Amino acid sequence: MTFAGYAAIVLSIGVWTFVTSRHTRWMSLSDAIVALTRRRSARILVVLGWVWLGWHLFARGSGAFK
Amino acid sequence: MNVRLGWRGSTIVVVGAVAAYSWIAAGLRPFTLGEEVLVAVPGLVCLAAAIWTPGSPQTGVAGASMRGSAAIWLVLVVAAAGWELTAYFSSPRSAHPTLSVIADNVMSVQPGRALVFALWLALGWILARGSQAMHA
Repeated sequence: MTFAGYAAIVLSIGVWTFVTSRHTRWMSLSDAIVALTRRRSARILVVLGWVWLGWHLFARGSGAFK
Repeated sequence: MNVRLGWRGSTIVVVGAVAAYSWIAAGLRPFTLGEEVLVAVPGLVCLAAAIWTPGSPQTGVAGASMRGSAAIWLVLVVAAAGWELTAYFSSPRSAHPTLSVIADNVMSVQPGRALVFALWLALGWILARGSQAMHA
């Protein structure tokens, strides 16, 4: 059930990415990233979240070489 | 000696360097100094790039179709975050895996771990450079 939910969300994101890439007046994935990172303060916050993700997955992750 | 690389040569060098770095990082275990350094270095580089990259001005008033499509992006992000939180607060974990648990399964072997590390590096550069990464 949980996997089905993740699959549905990933599929929706993929479909929406494709649809918006075909219409210049709609916000594409790259437009969304540009809008999200337009302000320097917002960009720094987003990058800090990205740093935390990398630390969580690689420096502190438990999945390596199980 | 003056060596000049074209666009294709530069791309090959960058992709090769990212792949090599990811492979080395993927070979180290969590909770070791080496892995912490290999994660911290790109983190600091991207943070510095995010600070030094200037903000970009808004390119005009967004139309209704732009606002509507942006709202759908927001709905998708909220749905993903909500589903992750639902899994996090559910048990047993085997029946309700979080994204971290799924990622751990992919990263249990070095090639999978290296691939996820390379994707993480690419995402970081895109986020740190913003519009300049998109229009490079």
